[in-house]
Amino acid sequence: MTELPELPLTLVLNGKEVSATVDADATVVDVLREEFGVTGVRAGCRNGDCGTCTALVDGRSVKTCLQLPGRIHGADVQTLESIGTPDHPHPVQRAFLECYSFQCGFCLPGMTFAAITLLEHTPDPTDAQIRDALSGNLCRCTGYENFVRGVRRASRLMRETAG
Amino acid sequence: MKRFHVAYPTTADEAAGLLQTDAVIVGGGTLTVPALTRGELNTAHVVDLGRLGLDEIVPDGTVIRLGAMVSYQQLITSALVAERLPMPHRMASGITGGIQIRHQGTVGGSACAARPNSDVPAVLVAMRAEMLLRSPAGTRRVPVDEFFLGAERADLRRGEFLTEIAVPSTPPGWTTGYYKLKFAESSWPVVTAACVLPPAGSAEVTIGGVADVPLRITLPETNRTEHTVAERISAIPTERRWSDLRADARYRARVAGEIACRAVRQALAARGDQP
Amino acid sequence: MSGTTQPWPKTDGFAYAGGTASFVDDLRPDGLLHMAVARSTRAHARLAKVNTAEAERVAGVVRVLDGREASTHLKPIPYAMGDPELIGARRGHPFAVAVDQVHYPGEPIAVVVAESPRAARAGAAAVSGDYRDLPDDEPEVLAENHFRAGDPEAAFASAPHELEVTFPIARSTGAPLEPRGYLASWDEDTHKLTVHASHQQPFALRATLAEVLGMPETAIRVVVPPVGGAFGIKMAGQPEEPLVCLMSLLCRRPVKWIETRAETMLGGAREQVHHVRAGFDADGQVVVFRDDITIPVGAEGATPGWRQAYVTAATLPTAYAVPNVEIRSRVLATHQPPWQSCRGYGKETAVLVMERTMDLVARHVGLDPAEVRRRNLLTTESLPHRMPSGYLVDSGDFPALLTKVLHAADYEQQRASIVSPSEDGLLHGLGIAVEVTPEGGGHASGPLNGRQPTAAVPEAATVRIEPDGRVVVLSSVTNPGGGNETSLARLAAAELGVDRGRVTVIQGDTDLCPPGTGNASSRGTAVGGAAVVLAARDLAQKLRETEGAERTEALSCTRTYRPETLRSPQETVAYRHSYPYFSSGAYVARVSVDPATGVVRVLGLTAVHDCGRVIDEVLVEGQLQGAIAMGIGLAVSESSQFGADGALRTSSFKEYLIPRANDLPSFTIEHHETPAPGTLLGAKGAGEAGVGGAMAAVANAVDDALAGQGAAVTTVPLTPPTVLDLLETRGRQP
Repeated sequence: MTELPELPLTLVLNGKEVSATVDADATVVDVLREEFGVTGVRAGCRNGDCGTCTALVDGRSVKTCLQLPGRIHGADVQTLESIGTPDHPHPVQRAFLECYSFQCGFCLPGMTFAAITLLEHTPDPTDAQIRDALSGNLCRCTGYENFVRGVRRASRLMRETAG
Repeated sequence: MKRFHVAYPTTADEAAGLLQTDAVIVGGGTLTVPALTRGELNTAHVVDLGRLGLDEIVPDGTVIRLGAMVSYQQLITSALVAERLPMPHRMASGITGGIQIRHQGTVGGSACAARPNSDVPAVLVAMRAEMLLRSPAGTRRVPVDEFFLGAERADLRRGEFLTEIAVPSTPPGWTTGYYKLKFAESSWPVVTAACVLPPAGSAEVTIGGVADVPLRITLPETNRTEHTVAERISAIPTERRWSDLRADARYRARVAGEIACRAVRQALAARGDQP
Repeated sequence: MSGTTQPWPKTDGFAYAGGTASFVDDLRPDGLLHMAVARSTRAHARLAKVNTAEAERVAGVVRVLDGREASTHLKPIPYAMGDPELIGARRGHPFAVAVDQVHYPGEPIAVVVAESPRAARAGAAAVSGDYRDLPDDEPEVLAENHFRAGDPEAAFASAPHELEVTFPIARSTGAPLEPRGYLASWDEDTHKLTVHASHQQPFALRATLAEVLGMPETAIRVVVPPVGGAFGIKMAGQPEEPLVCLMSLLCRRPVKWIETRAETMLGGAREQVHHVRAGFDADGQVVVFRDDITIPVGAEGATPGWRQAYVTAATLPTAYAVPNVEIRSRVLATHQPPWQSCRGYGKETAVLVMERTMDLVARHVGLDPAEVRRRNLLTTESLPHRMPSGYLVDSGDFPALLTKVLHAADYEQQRASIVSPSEDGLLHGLGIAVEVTPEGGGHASGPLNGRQPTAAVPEAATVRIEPDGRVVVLSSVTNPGGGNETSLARLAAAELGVDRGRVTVIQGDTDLCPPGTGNASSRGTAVGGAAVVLAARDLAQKLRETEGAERTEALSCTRTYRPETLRSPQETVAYRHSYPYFSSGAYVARVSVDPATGVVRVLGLTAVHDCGRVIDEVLVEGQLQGAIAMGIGLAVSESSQFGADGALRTSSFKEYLIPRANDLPSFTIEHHETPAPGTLLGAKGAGEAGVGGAMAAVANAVDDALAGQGAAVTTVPLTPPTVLDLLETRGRQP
């Protein structure tokens, strides 16, 4: 038995400081799930293709299966769990629910953060812009149709609130 | 598939020291981390450059210096790049994989991976970039034409890593075009063409995905692009023709002329010419 | 948002939107171990020895088990969907791990259990096999099927026109975003094995495990947590199912196995070669259709996967009234990974072949493809219609579907206005497809003739009302992610006259729910929903009888429901039970083709869908949208490819290209309801329909775009190199 490679890690996760000693050769998605019990990132491909592992690291949306754990040491990490509550859902969450945007829900980490990032910079996107913005994430259930509707609806909700 | 240790150097000197072992370098991670996860890359030591900085975009006279860790998204949002490096700017906007990959993928990482069909190698060859490599022995400057040795083979010696890419600005009056053929949004690029059009003299088009390294082709007459490209491609020795799962060498040769024309037409249109 | 009103269609939706829903990989009981599978690197070889010593030395590895040792604990895996003899097949004895021979690259040769997933994977990578390659052998014939109607020979002899064409169809796969995964927890004190599985068939899984492990079913509980998509691949009979349980029994700790993406991609189906000969007259009336089909289904497996081959043959000639038919298929075992069930279950390829044939007939006689279809479709007067295989088309109105979709897609106007090539040099085309989808379970077919009868499989439901008025529905059908729990809740609420927000649906727990099939064959609502309605009606009756009395205990009713086995009125012979209802659809696709590169883009897709009575429109449309997207993927980009060494080359989403949002157009969907006569609610299925229709419409549209410029489309996927080859082949073949 050789010594297992380990790494001490501290970060702010969904607003709370957390620490753990983790496998150095894990990926960030593994660490978030196994060490910190996060269910809002998932490993669908471990190849950067599907987007189910998406989280915000220091405000930037990233695929956490492409990162080694040291990348989030000292970082501020936000996962899907942090952006809304059942009583106060984020407008994107609400719109996705109202438009039946998702079916199995496995793809939602990537889809939700892609929509949020799009609407931050482009409050009133065209369908083509929506489809481009979602294109980093795969969904096999919906054909994306209702996600496009959902982002359109979220855009309206957010502009109404802002206006 | 080995378990591995990861070092996160914070200075270039420290990184250079660590790389004297047989370490795998992780830059943006989009290629190397999945390969490590699947055991396709087997190593006991990984050096992750994520804490090194190296993500600045700095103008320096007629060149723009891109740190090796500059992401595609930085190219997209940089006004400097948009103005002075319009072709790399356009290339970055077409990177697939969503906003996440544009945040995470790096120009330097793609250059070091030296995949014949990737966006970056052909663009750097078209731009006549210069690669800055660092090792304990010091710094080495390699013209990009000499950097790409073959498919997935860059001129990186043991202990060496890329710190910067110096890209000459596109001078006023020059125009460029970039066209990428891919089969679906999920697909790697299949054939790419990057065109540089000076106000006078011959245009150049650099084709990716046809040979094991990007091919820069001088176009004495832009209205004979397809012919010139076809001639050059027919001269590629069989063993240096590129093929992969997406398309064989024959398909690539068939479409390359047209893809080149599309890049050239963009450059002509940018100049205001009727393509 | 809480309380009794439900502001959005999906019950319990926020758990998903908020990221807190627990999929199987989110479960981490104390003492959890992780399993990884070491797999064969050879396609066909003697396995002299499995070397496990190095794996045992990997830090964190707890236990390594090879096939020889496994064979002392496990029995062969039983067939998950009835006896193979029912569909003309011979019986094999698939075993979970290779013992002394490997049959395909990727076959398990050992499993490794470790303290972390990474240690398990490192351990599996350290396992090697001593192989002695075996010479190429003739593929073994697993099954042969032959269906015939009328007098095909005489019809060919007198048919004024004839065409002959070969359609090779690529292997493809379901590729759900969540890979397969199982968590087995053996409790030494209670002698109970609890298995959490991302699965479509909890009761079948329980039965399979009981047999393979030699345990009573009562000692096994299967629980299905939220499932991240299935599309067929999460059915019973997979080798890892008993292996993860065995490792829990041996290690006396919970053991979890989560499939890697590359492992998910090993599975697949749909590969087949059709050699079609059709005879027709100058009016485009098809008088005879013959199809010789060769279907390589990979190595023999115990899942329902390779049975799709039977369904393809039995579904021909789909929606058409062809008097003389001969279908022969040969199902071959090869050295590729075993077939898995894939959405469409063999019906989609039958639709593709028939729809391409109709277009070729149209071209031959110089008529519009829509007109040729009109002349050949089964009419409502001819339903129910017994197909040559014995399948019974129960209902539908195919001419109406066609008319409606042509109108919805503005077909005439589009046809008249298409400029091809357009100004940008692109070729444009329109394609039509009519689709029928036999559904509801029961893929064996044919006249009884003394053979073993088959019967409709029931679904069951318990509906319970608590003293506080909350309603609990326990259903035998499961939800692979599409949201059928929402339909079930709606049905129960309507019968009981309560708000849907007061209804909780529990599915996929063999200890809690009444037994049934889970999620298969588009029967969740039509059959499972019917059981809920019956149980809820009983409960409503009970409530009326006890009205006024104070209730301190829950009241509950359980009912089963099986769809009726229909027969055609003029029939004198008895048939086996087969698919009890057929959903149907008509599709129009619009594509562009770049003649310089061969790149196809789907610009529009219009569908009219008949799933009988629509219970929940938004859910039905959601099913169809997903199926259409998959059909488009199959038409243009999805293909599982293997190298010369037999190894899979499409093991990630960068090689196996499923559609992304910006690959697809927006879809137009309309409904046409013809109630199913054999189901309680008149509902048919949704979920499988759309795959074949969209695939065929796109293939036809590409062919239309290439018309006059290249050879006929005879294959999918239509990748750019394939399309360019067609354009280079001058003259139309045939």
